[in-house]
Amino acid sequence: MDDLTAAVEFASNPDPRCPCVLLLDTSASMGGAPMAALNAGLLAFQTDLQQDSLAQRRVEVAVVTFGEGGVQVRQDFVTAGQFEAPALQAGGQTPMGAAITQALDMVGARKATYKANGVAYYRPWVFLITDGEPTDEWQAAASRVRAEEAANGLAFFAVGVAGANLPRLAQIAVRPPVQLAGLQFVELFVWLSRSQQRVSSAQVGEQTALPPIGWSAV
Amino acid sequence: MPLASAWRVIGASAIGTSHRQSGGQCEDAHAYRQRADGTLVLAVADGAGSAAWAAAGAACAVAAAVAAADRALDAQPLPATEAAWQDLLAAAPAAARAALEQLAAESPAPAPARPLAAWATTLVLAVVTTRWVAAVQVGDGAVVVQDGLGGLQAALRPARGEYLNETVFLTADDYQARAQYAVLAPVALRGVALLTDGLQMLALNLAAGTPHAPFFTPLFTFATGPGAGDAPLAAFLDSARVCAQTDDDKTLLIAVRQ
Repeated sequence: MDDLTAAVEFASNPDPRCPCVLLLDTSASMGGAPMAALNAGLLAFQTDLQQDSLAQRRVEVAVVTFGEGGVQVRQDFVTAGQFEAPALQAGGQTPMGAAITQALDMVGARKATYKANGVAYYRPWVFLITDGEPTDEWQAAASRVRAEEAANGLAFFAVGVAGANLPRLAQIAVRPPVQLAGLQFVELFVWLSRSQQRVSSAQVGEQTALPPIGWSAV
Repeated sequence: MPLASAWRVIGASAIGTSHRQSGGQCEDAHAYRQRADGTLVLAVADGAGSAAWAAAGAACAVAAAVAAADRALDAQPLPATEAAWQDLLAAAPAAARAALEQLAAESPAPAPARPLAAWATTLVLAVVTTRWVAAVQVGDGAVVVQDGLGGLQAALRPARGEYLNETVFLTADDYQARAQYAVLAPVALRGVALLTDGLQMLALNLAAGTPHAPFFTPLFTFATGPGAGDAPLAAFLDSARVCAQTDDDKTLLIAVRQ
C-alpha cells in the first residue's frame, strides 16, 4: 500500500544508548611494551566500533585512567562514532579505588541524564584493566561495585595483565577476573567492541550471548 | 444494541529483518473476535527473542486470552464500572499463562529442557465496545485510542525494566502484579490500535509516552477507507521505510468504527 507507506510519518526517538567505561591502569609498571599494546588496543576498539553503524550511534565510551597524573577522566561519555582513542602514558602509583569510584559516579550521572531526556538504555559496562593492585583505599569502591552488581545496576569486568593481583581483583569484581594472555590487547578490545555491538542491537527480552573470549590465559 | 458489523478490524504481524536474516520466524502474533453484540476482543503478543518457543508462546497466548475474555463476557452483562472491567480483564492473562504452562507440560522434551520461560511472551488485550476501551498488558507494547475529534491517547504504554532489553513476560512469577490495566470511556470512540514493541520507536514519543499523531492519524484514516485490509497493512509493515527504522518483529491490530 504505497499510499499508506507514504502517508505515515515516524516518531524520531533518540537511539537507545549502551554506555561503557574503560577503566585503565596507567601506572609506572605499565610503561614500555604493555602501554604500547594498550594504546594499539584502544585504536583497534575505535576502528572496530566505528565499522558498525548501529554501534556508532548507540555505544557510548568513556575512559578513566589511574596512574600517570592520578585519576583522570581522559574521555567523558561520547558515542562511539565520536570516540578518538587517547594516547596514554605510564607513570605513578595505582589509585584504583578512587578510579573505580569515579567510574561508578560517571555511570550514575549518565543514567540520570538518559532518564531526564527519555533515552532508553542498556545495562552499563565498566571494564577494568590493570597489571597490579590498588595502592589506595579500595574496600569502599569494592562494596559499591558489589552493591551495583547485586542491584543489576551495571556489569563490572576485571582483566589482569601479567603481574596483576588476581585474588585482589576477585575481591572487587563479582565476575571472576580474567587473565590477559601476553599483551593481546588488540584481541581483547576487538572482543569488547563485538560484545558492545551485540548488546547494542539486542531486542526487548533478549539476553545477549557474548562472543567467545579468545584473549585469556587459561 | 449495535450491529456486529459496527467495527472493521485489520491486523498484520510481520517478521523483522534481524529474524529474517538469521533464518528465524516471526515471533509476534495477533488474534481477535467480534461478538454477536458487537463487542470486540483484540490481542497482540510478542514472543521473547531469547525464548526457544517464542512464536508458539505468542500464538498460544493471544488465542487463549481472546477465548478467555470472550467466555468472561458470556458469563455476565457488560461491566459498568472500572473495577468490574478490571476483574473481567484479569481472566485473560491468567488464561494465557495457564495455556503456556500446559504447552510446557505437554512438550515432548525432557523436563529440564522445557522451562516455562522457553515460551516467554508479552500480552496486550483490549475489550472494545462503543463506549468502553478496557485493556490489560503484560510487558511491552501499547494500546492507542482515537476519539471522535481525532484526538489520540495511549491507554497503555510499554512496561519495562530499567534497561531496554528487559521487560515483563507472562512466564514471570510476578506477571499478575506487573500487569497494567486501563479502562477508558472516550468521547465518541472512533478507533483502537494495539501494537507490539517492534513499532514503539516509530509510533510513540517515548520520552513523553504519547502516541505519535503523524503515525496513527493516517493509519486510522486508512483503516476506514475503501482500500483497507490485512494485506496492505502487512505490506506497510514489511515496507523498506518501516524496516529501515526497526529490525524487530512488529504487529498492528486496528479496529475502527464503520
